[in-house]
Amino acid sequence: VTELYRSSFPASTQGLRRRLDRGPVRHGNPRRRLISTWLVALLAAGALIARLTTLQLSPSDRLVQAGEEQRLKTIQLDAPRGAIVDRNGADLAISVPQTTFFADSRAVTDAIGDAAKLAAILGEDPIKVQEKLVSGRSFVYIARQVDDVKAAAIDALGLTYLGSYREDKRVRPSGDALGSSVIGRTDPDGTGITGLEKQYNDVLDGDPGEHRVEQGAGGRTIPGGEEELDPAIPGSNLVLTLDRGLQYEVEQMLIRAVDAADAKGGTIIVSRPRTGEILVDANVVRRPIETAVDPAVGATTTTTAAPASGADDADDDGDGAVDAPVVYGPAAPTTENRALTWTYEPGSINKVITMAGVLEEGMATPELVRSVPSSLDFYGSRFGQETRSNDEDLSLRQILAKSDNPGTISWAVDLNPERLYSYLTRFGLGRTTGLGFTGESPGKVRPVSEWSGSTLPTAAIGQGIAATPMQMLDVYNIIANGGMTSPPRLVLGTESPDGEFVAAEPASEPQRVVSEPTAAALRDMLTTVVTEGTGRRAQVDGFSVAGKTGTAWKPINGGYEDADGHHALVTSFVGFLPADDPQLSIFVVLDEPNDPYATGGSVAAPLFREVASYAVRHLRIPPDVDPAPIDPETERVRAEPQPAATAPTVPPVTTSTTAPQPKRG
Amino acid sequence: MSTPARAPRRRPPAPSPRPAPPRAASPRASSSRATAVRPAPAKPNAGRPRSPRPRAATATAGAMAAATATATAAHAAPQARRRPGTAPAPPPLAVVARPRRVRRLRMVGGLAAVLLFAALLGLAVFHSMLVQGQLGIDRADDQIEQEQMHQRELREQVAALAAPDRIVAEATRRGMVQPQQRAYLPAVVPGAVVPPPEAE
Repeated sequence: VTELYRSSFPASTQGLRRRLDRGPVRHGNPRRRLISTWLVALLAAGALIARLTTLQLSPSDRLVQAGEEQRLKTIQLDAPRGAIVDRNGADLAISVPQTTFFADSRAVTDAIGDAAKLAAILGEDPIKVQEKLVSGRSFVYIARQVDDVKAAAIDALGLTYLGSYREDKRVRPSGDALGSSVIGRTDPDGTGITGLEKQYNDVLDGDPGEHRVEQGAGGRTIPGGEEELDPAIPGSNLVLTLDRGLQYEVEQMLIRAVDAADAKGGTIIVSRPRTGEILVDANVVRRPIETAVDPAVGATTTTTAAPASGADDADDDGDGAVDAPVVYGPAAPTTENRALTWTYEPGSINKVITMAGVLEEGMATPELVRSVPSSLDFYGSRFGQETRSNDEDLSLRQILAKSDNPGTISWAVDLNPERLYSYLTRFGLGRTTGLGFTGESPGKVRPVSEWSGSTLPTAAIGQGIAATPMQMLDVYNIIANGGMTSPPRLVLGTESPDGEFVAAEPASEPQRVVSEPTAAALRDMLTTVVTEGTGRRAQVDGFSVAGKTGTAWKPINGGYEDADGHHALVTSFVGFLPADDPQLSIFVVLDEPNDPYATGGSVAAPLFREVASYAVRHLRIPPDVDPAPIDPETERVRAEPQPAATAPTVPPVTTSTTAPQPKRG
Repeated sequence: MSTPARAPRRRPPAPSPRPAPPRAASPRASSSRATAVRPAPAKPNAGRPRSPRPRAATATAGAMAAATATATAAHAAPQARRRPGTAPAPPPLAVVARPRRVRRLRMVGGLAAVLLFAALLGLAVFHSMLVQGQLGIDRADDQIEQEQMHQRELREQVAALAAPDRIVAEATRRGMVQPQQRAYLPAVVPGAVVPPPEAE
């Protein structure tokens, strides 16, 4: 065989030749080799099997944990925050998914160029963006909650150091300003920080869930693997008593009125007196826009030509000197719910409490006449009536209709301080309304033990005490409601994610404050205020209106006038309609109208009329008297509210006095 | 029990004039393909049949007996029959019938292999379907999430379109104005005769 190989292969195959030169080829034993191979394979397989068996039968916790960490992924499931909707289901605040961008600033190579591109898309200052890109941090937010259009533009830049994720952003699709003072705000993480967003944060906030699942390469779920789902529970929707359309219209009316009166601000509340549901809570202010110190004169002046109107020269800082003029910007809705947080001395609209005490105590009837002096002196303070200089015989009705200060005080003296204080507190002054709104003020009514000699007359006419607009509306709601309390409500209820509506519990049970006859007499007297008294400009075509004007002085430096003898006024009007069957109550206040002769009847009552005229149409409240138009020149006074000669067309009343269920969807 | 029941379909091949070489002479032969024609073993069940063709292993009892005897003699003392100058007598070849048990084992083994293959194949198909289904579930979950987000975005758009300020702005842009005077219509009692309007 060797020779055969030698002859067969060429000489170049030296290696093989050398191999052949060693002698005959040894064929070996294939069987033995096969067996050896099998043995080696078996040994290797056996070792593997032994190791696997060991691992499977006696696994250590560390290995088990390491394995689970590799396979088991826990995915956080976000729970969307519930929406805030109005009484008809219109969205006022909802959460929508947006994109948040972050960066690893250590990987940024062209901070200036990239910052310019990002700032152009985001509409931000390039310097600020650049500061983020050069911060050197591994995680820095570039922009949070960016809308989809901007997000797509940023993605198109192809910046590899940018990362993104989706998170919810709280938006107000009906307008940022609409009802903002009631709705409130959330922080970027979706936690309520003001208003109802804060008060009902637990209701609106959902419960995040978890999804534990075994995943393989590429994040794909391993079929048949371990899976545990703890679903996220979205937050419940909050159904408010507000009416979006009415809120918008009233806000616009208030803005126009505040601008027209050059006032610092104003508040309007519209409610259902029977249920206490707040339909509108509008708050408008004018902010100072620009002031600067003129070193030449050492006084603060405006940098622009200060108009005569809109300048505030009251002594707000209490230093006894008139403050430098401040220019205010246009009126705009504020985020502060001044209806609940702002207190003021209510003035003459508080006289109805004095009258309620007199009537309830049986001291007089509305028609009882007494001689009323032109002024009364109490411990050095004179309380007079600007509209008259002589003593007059006035009935209780006339005293209220003319808002006569000496007349009211004379009856308050008969009522005595203890009973007056009792009625003030029974009508809800000095304590919060039960809404639970963050920052709500209880107002201030000092106990009788702290009263001075002039406290009784001042409190009787609404000075010397502090109340919120909501408290004063509540007073008139009690009268409109037959003497029973109807605690104000801002929330109708909650709507769970599965659509179940749960009505909100009332803050307190209705309580009787005055008797029904007393309430009826007061309603009648308040109607006279509108038909014959100071509130004639509050008349509404087709409706009998009951209400009261208020013109109060604001405290200035411990008194009620500045060094020049000027007063800072707060004008208000509060009333309800129809007077005999109240379905709507409205409170209007304008803070410091820039007119020394401004009164509640001249400034606030017309605004009341405008609001009421729109509201009754919006809410489809049928008129109750002959809808003959009122001559604005003569302000013709109706003798008595009379039923319409022909019953007016009554469209379907969708807003009944009972709590309506909000429309779904 | 092992009596063949069927007659041979073909005759056993005639004895070769040359004796078959000893199988142990070549290492390849020991593990090579089996042949149906080979010297019969001394004992019918002593050797493992290697032919995969069982049909060639059929024979009658008499033929088997003769073949067995011949094969035994040839295998037992091949050298004894050699004589100088004469070619050794080739051992008689015979078809070896495999035992029925072996055939059954092979059949069962084959069937088991087929079943195992089918089971594994089925398992693979099932697993593939499972993975496919899981993939569909994952995609459906993703789609649900996307659609829910889309629904929330659309809800915001609807609310924004229905916002009062947008409606007012749009109405103003189209020239609509607030009415200066409004009149309430008199009620019409159902069934009552409505008087004609008075002539002006």
